[in-house]
Amino acid sequence: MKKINQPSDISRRGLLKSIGAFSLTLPASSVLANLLAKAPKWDSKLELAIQLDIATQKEVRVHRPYIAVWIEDKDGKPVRTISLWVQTTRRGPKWIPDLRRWYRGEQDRVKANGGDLVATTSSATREAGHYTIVWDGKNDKGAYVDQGEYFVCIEAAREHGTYQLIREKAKFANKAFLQKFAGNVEISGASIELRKRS
Amino acid sequence: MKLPWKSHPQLFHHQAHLEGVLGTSLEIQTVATDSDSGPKAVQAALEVIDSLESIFSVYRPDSEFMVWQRTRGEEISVSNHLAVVLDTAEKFRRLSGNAFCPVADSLAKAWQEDKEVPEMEVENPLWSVDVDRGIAIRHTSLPATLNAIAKGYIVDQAAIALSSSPGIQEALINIGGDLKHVGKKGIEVAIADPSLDAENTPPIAKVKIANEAVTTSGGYRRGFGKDGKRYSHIFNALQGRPSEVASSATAIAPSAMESDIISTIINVLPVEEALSFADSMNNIAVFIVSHDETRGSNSLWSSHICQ
Repeated sequence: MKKINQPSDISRRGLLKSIGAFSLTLPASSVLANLLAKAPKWDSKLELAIQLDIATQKEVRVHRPYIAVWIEDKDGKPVRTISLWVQTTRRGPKWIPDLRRWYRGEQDRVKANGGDLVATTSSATREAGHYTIVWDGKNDKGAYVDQGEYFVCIEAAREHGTYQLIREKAKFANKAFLQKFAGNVEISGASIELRKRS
Repeated sequence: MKLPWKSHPQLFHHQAHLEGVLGTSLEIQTVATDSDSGPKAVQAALEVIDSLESIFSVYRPDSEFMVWQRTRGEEISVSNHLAVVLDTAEKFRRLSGNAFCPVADSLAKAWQEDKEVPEMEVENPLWSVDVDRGIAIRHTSLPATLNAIAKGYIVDQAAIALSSSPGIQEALINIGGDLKHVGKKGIEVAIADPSLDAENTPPIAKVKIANEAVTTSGGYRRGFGKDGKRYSHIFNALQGRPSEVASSATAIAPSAMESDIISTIINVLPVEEALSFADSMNNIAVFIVSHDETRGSNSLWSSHICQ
């Protein structure tokens, strides 16, 4: 009996295995198809404008905090560093780690693409404390990202002051929208606008 | 062949960014022979800015300029700073045929409120100034501002404070887009694209300057809406209406006071006139982007362009 059963067990197991494998291939391929169908690339006619206001008080001058603005995917992986303002003094690099999240992400980014310097913004604007930064929808390697959910991150740190992070989820498809973020003691307010590329 | 007998002294770069200086942002950069000189120079520059703000501010009723504006027809003793700025303002008003006009804001207010815009005669001086005696007599009845000149003057004075501070080799001061460089090596200056409002969008031009000043003016960041239309904050006193010529006008001049005034003048004048006005003066480079996106520049501008 055993002699008969054994091959039958084996073949049953083999059958289950092959059925399992077959049943797995179906959802796997449909998931893949869905992924391909549901995640179109960023609409190249659109850009994301990120506006931020550095907290200022009337008639009081304040040092600009160190600020990093970047995008993370829905799993929290840094996708694109958009802007980074730090003091480039002798003491500068010492303070970059203050931008903790950016720094951690930067370590990953450096490992991933060879560690080119990120673009920085050093020009002054005419309206005190008000800055607009645009994201073209590309990642650090210059390729358009997929449409979908991302985190917009704005981090501010002060040498002898506070550390603040705005990290808000936003869904980027092909429709323009405006979304306001709550501010903090360093960044009094921020907003994002998916808009037609100017 | 250079032999490394003498090692080059280490140089220290210092940078400061402040918000809320003269209502805008301030950037200072220094290159110094030691690490303490940069921060000290910044401090010296800020002190100069504070003391000059108390002379020129139109937001402070007790500023020297505002106190003087409450007088009319009398000889008033004024500080050398105020005398120089008032004198230069009147000279450029005359020279530009009112394209630069210190009472433009009063005219703009009348225009915005649909009141009759007072006509300005080039021959009628707004005020008379004796710089040597430190005396200024105000003639006009219209309130004036020194918007398109005082900031440039303050930038120049702050740049002097920076460069005369011990140990400083190179310095840059940029107050909300009005900037001055002092030093041998020079600095690259990107000119913002008037149609792109972001910090990280590509500039329309890049120039290299040394011991010079750059000012860009245009209505793209400040302006106002009226009857559903958008207007520049720069008022054309020649036509009695807001400037509609340039969306961005940049001037490079030996001083920020000059670049400040000239960028306003070339914003108001038709492009061809603006270019010949710039060429009629020495050492003035200009670059104009008009509202229909045509661009104009003089030959001195071309010599400043860098790739």
